[in-house]
Amino acid sequence: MEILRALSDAFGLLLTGDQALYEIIFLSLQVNLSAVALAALIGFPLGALLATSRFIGRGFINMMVNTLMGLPPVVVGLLVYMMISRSGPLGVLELLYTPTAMIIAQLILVTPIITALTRQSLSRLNDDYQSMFFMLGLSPWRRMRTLIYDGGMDLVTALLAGLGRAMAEVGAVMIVGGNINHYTRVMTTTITLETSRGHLSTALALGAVLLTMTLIINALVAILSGGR
Amino acid sequence: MSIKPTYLTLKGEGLGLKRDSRMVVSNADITVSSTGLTGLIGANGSGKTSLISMLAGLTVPDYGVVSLTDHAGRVASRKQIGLMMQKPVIMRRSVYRNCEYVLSALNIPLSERADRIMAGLALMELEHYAQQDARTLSSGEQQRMALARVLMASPGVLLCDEATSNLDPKSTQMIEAVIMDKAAAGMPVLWVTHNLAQLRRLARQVVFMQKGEILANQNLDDFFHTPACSDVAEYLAYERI
Ligand SMILES: Nc1ncnc2c1ncn2[C@@H]1O[C@H](COP(=O)(O)OP(=O)(O)OP(=O)(O)O)[C@@H](O)[C@H]1O
Ligand SMILES: [Mg+2]
Repeated sequence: MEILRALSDAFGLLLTGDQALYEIIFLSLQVNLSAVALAALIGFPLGALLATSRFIGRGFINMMVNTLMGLPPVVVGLLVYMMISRSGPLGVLELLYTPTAMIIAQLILVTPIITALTRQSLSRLNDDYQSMFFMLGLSPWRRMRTLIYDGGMDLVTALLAGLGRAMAEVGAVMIVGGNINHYTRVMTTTITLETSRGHLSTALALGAVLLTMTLIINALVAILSGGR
Repeated sequence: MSIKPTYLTLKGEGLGLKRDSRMVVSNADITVSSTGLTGLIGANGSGKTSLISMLAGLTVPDYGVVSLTDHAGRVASRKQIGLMMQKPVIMRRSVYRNCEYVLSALNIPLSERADRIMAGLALMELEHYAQQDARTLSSGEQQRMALARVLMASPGVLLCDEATSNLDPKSTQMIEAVIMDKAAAGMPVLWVTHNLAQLRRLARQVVFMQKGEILANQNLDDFFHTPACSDVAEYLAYERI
């Protein structure tokens, strides 16, 4: 009974355009999209480089990417916290409990995924193209550009996978963002808080939004990778 | 298409390739030059693709050296080798853009590209496929595109590994005509085929491989009439089946 009440309240909140709720949704999108965009800026070229070139330190970077990909988000949150807290090396920047701090944490979580997926699909493409690249005597830079261009659809898929992970993330953004009302409160952290307080309707409303967004992201991934 | 072609001489000396502690090519001497088309034949696994791959520079030989020189003996760039592999590289682009990519990589001026591409595609009767995604072409059409693409770059020497293996008789004849033209004009061609009738039609010189070794390197008539060794005679006996 209570659950049904919570559900109808949840839709009420969404339909009436509850300001606090939409503020949270908007901040979530802002933080996650910024983090994913920055992660792509690093992950695409880095993944392409790892897929195409042999260089000193490549093994180390590969290992870092794989490790970071498997790292629990709370650990990343903790590490970022230690870096930016008042006594940390970046303490003077006063980033703790700001949206910027959340973007940094998300960036660290998402970049390895985008890098690894880029590396995987582009190294397959590179195998296909390698003999042509060689015969044409192309520079590593030109090879990389070609792969990123021709692997475009795969890269969009990698981007969406990164976005999916960012949207689902709680632990790290909670630690470095502090879940401050009207400032660093995003969808997942709000759901955690409101559920523990017993305010199921707000939690459910955000849950529904999150579910819908995740569904859309995954549908896009399916459509894009279905063409292969 | 107006540039004067400069043809090169591609030479492999004492080429050897070891794979899984087995010699897949051993002590191979071969020259590809402007003296008419050289046919390369041999059973499956005899080392033809491995040899071509070493000549093209794609595979580093374990023994011997490859040289590419112009008529004055100057070393030429590998970019001037036209290579058509058994499984051609098909880029994830339209047929037109597949061709354009190669021309732009070879620094062919932009103003020349469109004409070259359309003329090259027309030569292989592919002009109506220009905008089609190359990956959706049939395997025969892909082979024709690959050949068109390699020819429109005006290579100084041409290496073709079973370029007509997927083609119907009409397309085969079309390609043979084009290749004969090129060879007659002086383009050095090394042509791998399993088709002995085609070999008779195209080749001036024949190189026969078996188990990684070159057992015969003779002109066409001698190859068929007075084979260099019994292995060739045995191989040729199957033609009548
Ligand atoms: N990377 C490799 N590792 C192990 N063996 C190899 C490798 N590459 C080629 N070989 C072997 O070398 C031999 C020659 O192969 P190659 O592809 O040159 O033959 P081919 O004459 O082109 O045959 P086909 O007519 O079937 O195309 C084969 O027995 C093959 O198994
Ligand atoms: Mg072969």
